[in-house]
Amino acid sequence: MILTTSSFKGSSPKVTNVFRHSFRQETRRNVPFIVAFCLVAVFFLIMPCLTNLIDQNFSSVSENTAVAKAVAETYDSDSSTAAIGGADGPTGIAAVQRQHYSFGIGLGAVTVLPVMAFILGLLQFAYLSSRRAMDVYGALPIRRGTFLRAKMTAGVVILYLPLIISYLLIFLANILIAGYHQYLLYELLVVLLDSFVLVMIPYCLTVLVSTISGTVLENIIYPVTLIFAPVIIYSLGMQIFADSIYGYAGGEMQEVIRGLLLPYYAAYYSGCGLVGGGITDYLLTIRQAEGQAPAFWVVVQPHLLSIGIWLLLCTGITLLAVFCMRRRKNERAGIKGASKALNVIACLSAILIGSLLVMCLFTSGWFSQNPVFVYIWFFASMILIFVIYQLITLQSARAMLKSWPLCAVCVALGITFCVFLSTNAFGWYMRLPDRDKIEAVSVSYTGIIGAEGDYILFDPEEEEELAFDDAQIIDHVYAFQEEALKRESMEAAGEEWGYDSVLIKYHMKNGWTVSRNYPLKTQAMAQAIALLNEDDNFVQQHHIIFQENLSRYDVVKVSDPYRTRLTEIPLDQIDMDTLQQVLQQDILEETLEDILTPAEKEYGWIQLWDNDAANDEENMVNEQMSVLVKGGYRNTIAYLESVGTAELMEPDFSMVQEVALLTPEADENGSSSFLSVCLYGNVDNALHLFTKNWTSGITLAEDYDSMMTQEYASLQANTFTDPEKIQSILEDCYNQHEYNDESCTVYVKGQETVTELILPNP
Amino acid sequence: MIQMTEVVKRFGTYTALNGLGCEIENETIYGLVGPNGSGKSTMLRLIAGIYRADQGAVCVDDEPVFENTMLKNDIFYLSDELYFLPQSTMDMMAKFFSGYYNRFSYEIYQDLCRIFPLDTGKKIVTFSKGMQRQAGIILALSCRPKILLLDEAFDGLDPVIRSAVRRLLVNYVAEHEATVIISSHNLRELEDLCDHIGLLHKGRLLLDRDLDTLRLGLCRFHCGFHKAPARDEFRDLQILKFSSRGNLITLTARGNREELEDYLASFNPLFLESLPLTLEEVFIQEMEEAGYDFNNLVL
Repeated sequence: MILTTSSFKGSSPKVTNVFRHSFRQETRRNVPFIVAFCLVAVFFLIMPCLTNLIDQNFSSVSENTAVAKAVAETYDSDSSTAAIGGADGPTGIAAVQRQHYSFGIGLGAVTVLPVMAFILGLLQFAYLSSRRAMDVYGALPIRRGTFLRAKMTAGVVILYLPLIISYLLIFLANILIAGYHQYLLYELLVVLLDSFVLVMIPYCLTVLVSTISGTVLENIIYPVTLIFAPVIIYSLGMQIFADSIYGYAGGEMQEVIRGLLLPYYAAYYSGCGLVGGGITDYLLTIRQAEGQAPAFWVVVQPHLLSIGIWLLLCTGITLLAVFCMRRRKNERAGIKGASKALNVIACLSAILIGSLLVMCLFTSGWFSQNPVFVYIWFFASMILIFVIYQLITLQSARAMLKSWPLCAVCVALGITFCVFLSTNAFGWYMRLPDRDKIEAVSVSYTGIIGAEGDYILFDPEEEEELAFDDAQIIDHVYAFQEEALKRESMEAAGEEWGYDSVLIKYHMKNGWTVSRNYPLKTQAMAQAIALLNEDDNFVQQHHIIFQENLSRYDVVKVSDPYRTRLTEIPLDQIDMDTLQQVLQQDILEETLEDILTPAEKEYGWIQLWDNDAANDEENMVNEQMSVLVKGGYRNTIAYLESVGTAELMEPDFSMVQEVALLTPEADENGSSSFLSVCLYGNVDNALHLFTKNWTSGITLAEDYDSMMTQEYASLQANTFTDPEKIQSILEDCYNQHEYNDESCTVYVKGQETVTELILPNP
Repeated sequence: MIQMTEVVKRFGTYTALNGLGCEIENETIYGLVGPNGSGKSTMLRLIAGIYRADQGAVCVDDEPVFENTMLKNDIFYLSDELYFLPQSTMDMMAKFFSGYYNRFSYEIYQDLCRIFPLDTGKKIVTFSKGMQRQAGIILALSCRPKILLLDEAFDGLDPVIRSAVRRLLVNYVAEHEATVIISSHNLRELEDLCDHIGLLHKGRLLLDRDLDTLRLGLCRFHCGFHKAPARDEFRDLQILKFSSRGNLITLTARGNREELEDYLASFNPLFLESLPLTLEEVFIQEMEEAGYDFNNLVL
């Protein structure tokens, strides 16, 4: 070997950018992860969207549902086959033109992306747990804060760049396959923001924990706890509380499992305020609309606040990580017990999740539903999980003995939790107020029948919610709450009554207000609250006929129930005060049974216009209202016949040009694409989305709602032009009726209007 | 100059360095010795800026080292437990370090790779312990630091490579006016290399001396007499160790060698022999004089 001093004559020092060098080194070193992440993006983002795109736009239309078949067979549709899925329908009715788009983040991606982000954080900052590695990194001529920022910058690029590329590819695929729509741009923006949050939160939390903890085990346990535990606990807890221990159904284990697997599913699914909608699994279908596009703010605005909050959180976590990194002692590497607080949180989370899961398994009937055994196993699992956790983290029986106070805390919390459950939130949920101490009651219930048109539920003079002090009304509401609290009612959920709920407020004599909110889950509950319709005071305060002054309307038109024709009545032919009186009389005489199961067909419609109100921009009054005259309104019918409107309210089926039946099609989850109309609220609530633009098909209303669009994703139309068939269909229709999954929507096109009716199970 | 002033470093309840103070001049090869757990690696890590002292100051040319990127650019620390980037080769590590140390020289790197028989394209994880040590030394020297900190630098090296490394270090110090601090628990290893020695024990420097001064100050003589004088007769000598076996006397005394020889010659010995002291023996003498049982300090 020849060694000379000249061997050490090297080049002069060069300028180095350590941040850039660190960034490059980080990206180069994580090439395997980048490849894996790209594969994840392909499998969980690109392929599902492409598959849906191709399937929805190129596959043949699915077969009719059983209802559609029944319609076709019953009424022998003229063009049922041709109308379905065709680009152009016969007789001027354009069949629904579909352009199916596919965008968003599926449930699989919601699971995998945060996990990948967590893994990247773990890989990048594992050196902080290795003393040997710290001997190298700690000695480098770079400040620790700078080094952290360089690594995190690389991490953000590694995580986000593949997502951006993926979504751009999906965006292009949508355009190529389904055509360009402005809505796609909004969706692109939303999904880019949502996915940024989805990966950044777990990544930043993992980095933060890495700057605090000392061992690899802690680097795994603590971030997993912070990222996943809150939503898992929330999901499990909601499952237990929502259905109660005794009502937990095994079929809903799927929801628990999804909540366990998907870190943000629970928050998104439940509509948690911080994380609004956006990252959900949906198939977007936009119908070809003429000149109609959803407004930017309608689509994007709901996301901005929640995303803004999460981005602030990300920023805060990052700054905290930099701070912790600067204060970190490098000798922390390899030493466990970095943070007692995190250890306690992780331990409690593990115990809570494990014991809640055991409780769910037991109460699902897999083992036993005996409450005693449930609680025994709950506590046993708490102890067991505590021991396992301590053994794993402390790896010393002696050290574990010192942490028994923590176990005592867990047991105490468990006892509190069990008492909370067994007493139904210390009696709060089950507690009925003392009937004698109730002074008045308010209830968010508009009654079974709300008239068309806008009306105010508040006392117009006081602008406060209506409170009823009538004893019978209070009794009705009280009876409803008793019904709601019956466990049998909760278990026998049966038919889904949609998303309605009733808020009750008892105004107590001592000045307190006690509130209860119950979802309307069963028919028994619905009927219990519907008893309010039996109360004249309640009806008088809610029904528009009692709230309005019909004599202010200066245009009166009558029509048959199917609105085949609309005829104006001169004001001198009809006395509005008398009309109002007879209507009020009939409404008060109407029973609940009459409403739910009408014995007679509907008689017709009275439509009223107030031209002065139309020009009055200062006062909010109804410009128009419609009153359905039912078959049981004997007084009203008698009066109308006396003023000579009987013939005008006879249907003239020759005036009907076309009738179209739209049948609901179950979506992939088995639920109907129509919202349940239930017995509450305006019948038309479920159908207001559609404007009456017949020639171009069904179009979107201005207040576009993407979730509503999904509900109507798969409509199939049968059209009828034969007068006899039209008449036979219409005679089976109702304007207001109990609506269920097997009912059809019937569109009746007359000369001037298009009427929407309900055809019960054909 | 490396300055450590009343440095205290604790790890939990354990105090690794307890009021350590020293000054290490430039252009020296400083040997840091001490038993296991004496604080050698901790001291090196403090100088390297990996650790921050709990008390006291660690400075280079009056500037604190911790989080000082300018200073750390001229300091390279090679740990006793080597670490390389996972699945990396020497070339990858060279690229890694070259981005941080602006004095990194690829010429030196390539020259050293020719000297040491290592495959730079092979993953370092496949190297033996000694080969990894060689790789570490190559990379360290390629960074051309002004302060080179070597923790157990010769561990795992065969005698040939060990000798080569010693010569490299000497050349390096001469060429770059650098300072090299080598820690070891083996005095024999440092004897031929270092010009300064520091002995750490329980977090304090018991000894911090120039090696020549250390050696020169102590002499051992082996004398034979017709009748051996008693120890008291050598009252003018500062005797550290005295043993007699019959008429043979072996003594270790502090002082100038020639003067001591002349003094002993005045006793008309049959023979007078000056024996070289090893570094270890010097230390033993010094420590015993300080009241420590050196056998418990150094292997």
